[in-house]
Amino acid sequence: MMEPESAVRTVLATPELILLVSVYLAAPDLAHCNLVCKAWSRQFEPILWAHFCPTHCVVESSTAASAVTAAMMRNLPHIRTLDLTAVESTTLQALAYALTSPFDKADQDQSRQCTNLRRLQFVNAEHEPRGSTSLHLAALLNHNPLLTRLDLSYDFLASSAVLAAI
Amino acid sequence: MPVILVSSDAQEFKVDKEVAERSILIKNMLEDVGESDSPIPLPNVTAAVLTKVIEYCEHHRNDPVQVPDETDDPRKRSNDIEEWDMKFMQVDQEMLFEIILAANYLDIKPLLDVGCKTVANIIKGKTPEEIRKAFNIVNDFTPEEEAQIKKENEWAEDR
Repeated sequence: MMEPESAVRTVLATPELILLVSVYLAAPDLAHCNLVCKAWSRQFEPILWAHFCPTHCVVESSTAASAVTAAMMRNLPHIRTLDLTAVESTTLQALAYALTSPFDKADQDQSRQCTNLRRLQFVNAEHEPRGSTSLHLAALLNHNPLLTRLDLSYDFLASSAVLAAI
Repeated sequence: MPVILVSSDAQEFKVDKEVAERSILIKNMLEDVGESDSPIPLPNVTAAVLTKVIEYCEHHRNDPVQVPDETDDPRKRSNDIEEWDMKFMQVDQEMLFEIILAANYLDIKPLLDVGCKTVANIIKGKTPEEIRKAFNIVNDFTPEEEAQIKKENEWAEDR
């Protein structure tokens, strides 16, 4: 039996209107919307990932880490705010590597890279950045011309690659 | 000079021009045709919904024009709905969404915002299952798919 046409269904199937509603929702609510049904998931996944600001350690087990990383890789072009303040240094290095790895592949379609950042926060007072993290950060800076806000900890400013990118 | 609006079910509504012009769509139409007393057909809006929309525009007829919010704050607040608007939005769910569609079509930004805030407030703090119940949505995920998305979303959950 066909469901009758309803305003509720029409609104919830209109991307512009979903977007207008979503600006009033915080990450936990967006995550719940992403789990409602397939149609909602298609709409809310990019919205959820527009602000990737994990508030607690992403990785407790390696399977959880790989699930989050895989989802992040799927959503790289959607990320506008990236705040890795709450992430400890080993995870930070792994995420920074994953975020920038598509830059190195010459054949990689630009529409699948992380190039739409507006805000970037890489402050980590408790942990020193590990080895290559600074280089990944520099690569991110070089590929994100729309960036308008940047918060870094002093450790990164000691890196000449990062300074050059700024 | 009053303006005559005609709903999709052919009911006529006589409203003040300044009230009708809360709708940018109607405002532009009136500017395009110039002085004219011919009725304006609104084929996407029923009389029941148009009654509500006019009630809103009457109440807000003297509001200053809204300046678009250019701050790049990623999250906006939905708990700042004024009391009259809150009461105005206490309608059944179908009417709430009808009002949103009408505000979108008629281009009445403040009404559209209040409608979207009201929907956001329904969603807030609910589990996925409670959201499905609230909007009568069927879960079409397999348990495996659902578990996978839960893992991917883990970083966004409150602790």
